[in-house]
Amino acid sequence: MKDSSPWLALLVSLMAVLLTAFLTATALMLGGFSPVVALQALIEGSMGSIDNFLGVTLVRAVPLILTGLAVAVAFKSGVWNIGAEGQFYAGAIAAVWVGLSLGDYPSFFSIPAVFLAAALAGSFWAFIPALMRIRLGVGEVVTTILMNFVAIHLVSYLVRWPLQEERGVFPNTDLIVESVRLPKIIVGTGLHLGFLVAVMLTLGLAGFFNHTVLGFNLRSLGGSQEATRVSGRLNISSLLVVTFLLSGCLAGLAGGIEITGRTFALYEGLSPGWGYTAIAVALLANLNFKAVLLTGIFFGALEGGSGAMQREAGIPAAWVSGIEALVLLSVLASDRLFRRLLGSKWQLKLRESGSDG
Amino acid sequence: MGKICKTFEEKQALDGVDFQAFPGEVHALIGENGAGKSTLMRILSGLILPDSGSMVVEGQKTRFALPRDARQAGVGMVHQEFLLVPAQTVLENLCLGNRFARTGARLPRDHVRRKLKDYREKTGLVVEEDILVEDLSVGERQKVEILKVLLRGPEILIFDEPTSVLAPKEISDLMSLFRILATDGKTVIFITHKLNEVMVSSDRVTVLKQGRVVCRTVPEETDIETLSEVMVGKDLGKRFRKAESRGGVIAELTSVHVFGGEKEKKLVDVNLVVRSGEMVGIAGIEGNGQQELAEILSALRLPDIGTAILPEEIGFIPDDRLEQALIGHFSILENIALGLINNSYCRLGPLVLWGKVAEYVQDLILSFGIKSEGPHEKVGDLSGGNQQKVVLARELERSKQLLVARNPTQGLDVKASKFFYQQMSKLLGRGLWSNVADRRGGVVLISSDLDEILTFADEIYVLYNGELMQVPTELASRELVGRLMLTGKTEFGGLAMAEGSGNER
Amino acid sequence: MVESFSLVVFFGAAIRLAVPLALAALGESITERSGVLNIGIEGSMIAGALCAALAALKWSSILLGMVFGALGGGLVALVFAIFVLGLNTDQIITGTATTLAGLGFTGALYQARFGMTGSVITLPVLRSFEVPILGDLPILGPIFFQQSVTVYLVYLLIPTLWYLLFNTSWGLELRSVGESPEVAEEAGIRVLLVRFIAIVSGGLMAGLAGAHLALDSGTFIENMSGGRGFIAIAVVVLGRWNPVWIAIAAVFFGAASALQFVFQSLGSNLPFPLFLMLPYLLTLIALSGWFGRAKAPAALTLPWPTKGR
Repeated sequence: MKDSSPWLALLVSLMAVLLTAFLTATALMLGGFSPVVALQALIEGSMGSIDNFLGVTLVRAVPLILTGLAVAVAFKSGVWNIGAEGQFYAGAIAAVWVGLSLGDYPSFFSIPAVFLAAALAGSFWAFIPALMRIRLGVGEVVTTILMNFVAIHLVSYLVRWPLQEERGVFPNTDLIVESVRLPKIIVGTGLHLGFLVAVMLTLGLAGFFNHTVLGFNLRSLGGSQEATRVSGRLNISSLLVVTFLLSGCLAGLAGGIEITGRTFALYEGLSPGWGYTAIAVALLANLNFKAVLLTGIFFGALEGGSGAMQREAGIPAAWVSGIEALVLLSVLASDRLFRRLLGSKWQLKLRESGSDG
Repeated sequence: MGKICKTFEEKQALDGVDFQAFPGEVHALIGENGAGKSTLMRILSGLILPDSGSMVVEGQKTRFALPRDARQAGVGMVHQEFLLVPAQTVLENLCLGNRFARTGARLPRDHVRRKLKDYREKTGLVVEEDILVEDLSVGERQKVEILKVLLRGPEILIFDEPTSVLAPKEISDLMSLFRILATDGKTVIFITHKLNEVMVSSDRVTVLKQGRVVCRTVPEETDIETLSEVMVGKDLGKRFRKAESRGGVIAELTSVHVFGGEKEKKLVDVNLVVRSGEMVGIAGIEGNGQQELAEILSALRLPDIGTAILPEEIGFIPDDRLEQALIGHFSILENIALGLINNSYCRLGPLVLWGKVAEYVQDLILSFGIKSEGPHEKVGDLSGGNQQKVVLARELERSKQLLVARNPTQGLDVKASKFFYQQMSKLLGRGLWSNVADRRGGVVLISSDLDEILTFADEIYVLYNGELMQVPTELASRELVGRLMLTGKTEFGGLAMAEGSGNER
Repeated sequence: MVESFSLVVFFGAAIRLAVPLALAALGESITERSGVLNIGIEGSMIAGALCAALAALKWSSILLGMVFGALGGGLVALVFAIFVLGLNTDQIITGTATTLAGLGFTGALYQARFGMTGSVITLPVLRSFEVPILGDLPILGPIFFQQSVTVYLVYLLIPTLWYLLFNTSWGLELRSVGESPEVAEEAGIRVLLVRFIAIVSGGLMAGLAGAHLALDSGTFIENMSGGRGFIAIAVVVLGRWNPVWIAIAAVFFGAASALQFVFQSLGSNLPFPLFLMLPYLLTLIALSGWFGRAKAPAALTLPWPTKGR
């Protein structure tokens, strides 16, 4: 599922989408719904109009792309970061905190400041599991999950106590000051600057991994730690730390951008599990950054169109999370089946590093 | 077992081997690395299937498809890498091994304890039962492993290189255990390299060489010299191609010690000097400290005690190429870049100049004759020989001063091996390249292939049990170095002294 | 000053809240002991909750609710097992997928069955009953022995699992498969079969935990598992893969949640989310080896067979 030949990867992804479509259609029919109507409503709701596409789909896609990139960076380098959710919240907390305490400075100063805070917070959240893996040999799967819950409860504390709105009624923060809110790319739609940031980061990461020495080293780390150590003569620990930090930084930025671009305030349940959906986004993209942009938009369309699907076709919006899961399972299944059919000589080694709970 | 053949990936491991062992005897199976001993025994214990041939166990013609078939037929194998669960107690491990004797769902602890008592009286094997296996020494673990196999009640016991990890006292205990078991009517087969053990404790000996039986004998009718000659073959005459001149010191190890876990010594007081233009050959059977020495020489790890002075540009060809040297889903280009990317030619600040790298790699593909569809083909899709050429190309390219190579030509065909030696000569500044003196580097060749060492090395060392001994080149012969590899320093010391004193008289 | 009465209520609530965690964690510990980390038990749990709700509604039976709840959880685990063991897919990714699938499809089914607005469904509720004699004990009685049937089930499961795990051949085989599958295989154990049983058992128990959630509250709400499946994974780690310690760890997590209700009922303004966070921090610290190293099964998350044979 890593860098295999691009054609095979594309085939696997296409196959996965088709398989998902088939399974979903079957399930919908069994549930007494018409798949055609559902698809129409979904397409209508997510890209039926420019407004829907820009204001709903693309806006929804922003956090998915960024967390998807975070997961892709980690998985590509052999780090099992299941903690994008927590890192997202860490970034959101930092963004809100800085955004509330900043005075009325010009945007060109305060927005980068907020972004920096969010990125640092996300990195910090990932740094703890990184330390535990490198210093203590504790696998990151469980630690990153634990850090997610620490973040979620931290948010719940902050929005009820220190950062609660002035009125003190609801568990959410006040709105951040005007100067740290992201400008809209197209006035009149919800599409904010965050989308452009996501696109630029995607291209930047693709360039970084393909054209820099450090990026190449991270890819080798994901390919084989032993070969990277022995033949690359590289320090595995520091490369691992870089990966954790980079991944956490991206997820943190996702949180910061969600705050400054869309909600302007922090509340419980800000993310409907984007940190986990991100895994599906990254894997459907075969861990390819540029493809994450597309799969992020695809998942954004699914989530964005789900409302319309519910209104127009009477299909529960919750179907969409089910479909997202089906995508993930279909990717796994098609990847295995294709590989078995083609009989690849090298066993896919997604788990290079033993992770011991 | 008769006419057993087994072929692995175009390499014939066993070629019509006939092998017999009888109840009540201790049978030693000896041979060099890769002679086929382990393969033969793995077939007997059902771990692999032979391509052809037949097996008769206790008068029954059989064929073991699975280890459990072999076990039911009364064959038990004490593995070299002990098959024990480290995080469980000795007793639990023995219960697990005793699975087939169990009756109810309850763990047969008491049953096993009683049996252990029996064995203690019969064989003198004592182990602490309620201690975790991970807390045991290697010798104790082996006892547990033996007990585990004994509990299954086998008639034929196979020991795969049982003494390689044991201290001398433990070895003699093990040898007397062999005798006790044989007296009890069991068949004991043990695989070994160490000829002195064979002479002391076996009833019969079978020697394998390159997948064939070359000798069947009994210890009384032979001696160590003859056996070792049979095992490693006759000396084909010295073929030293001495370095014409040697330069300054490139690398130097001074009293280097490396410890494994549990106070285990991996390397003991190793001293080594490599000069430019010189090839140092280190012979030895795998597992005598080769891995540790190679990692020290290639600056991958620091010695626990002692100093290692090493140059900056070191090439290293590891033993396990597929694990340590290549990334399967990376292209040839990327795999070569893994070692060369820090080359200023290939990078501009933090950026990789892939165009330059590609030119570079294209040249290497041509000059090393790597058969591929081009630099972007995945290394995983190449044949084994071509994968190794990728490693050789990269490491020779990066080793401006020192090349450390472990079994570099293993798996290469004759042409490719010849090419590799040519490239090494180039690095050493010999032959056609002798005029490029300023580029002369040094080579350390760590190999279990005696011929390779004898043909190319200027200085010859033998690594045995973590100790490095130099063999004076004028004395180095196939028999001598071979025996050193197999039996360690006592013999050599004795021999050298004998010759020395002979000269005096 | 807190009166002893409210302490009894608090500990009683802690036990009650610990039950779903304990059930799921005990199940997950079986799975993990076999060397498989199933982070999809959240999916099993929510599926268990929905199936229990549907069955209890249809037949107005608590018992059938629990049985179908367990089966629902087992079904999700079955999907996980087919992928992980049959296709040898990555355990972490597959677990994420089954969690998402469980949450998504239960939500969809629920909405399809009961409408989008989520009309409140009312189920037969698990009633607590008093154990004769033991229930009359002062303090301990109300805390431990005036509970619902699932609590007593956990009481039974703890020694049973402990005995199974450490005193039977089956338990030894399970642990060996999770520690060194190659050793187990050599001893004649079918590694994949053991793992299959362990995964499905874990799913059944997570389903039972979900059934408890639905039947204890008397209703089903979307996402009502609320991350308890993930918490159960933390409980297993904190409980060091040992049934007794797992139960204690579950009560600890339960107590942290019970504090929330105590604070609310006392009108206290103490920040309960920080107490809820505490068990996670403690689990992290436990993982760091501050209380002696908690050692996971050595083969946890590693695929089997490692190479094609």
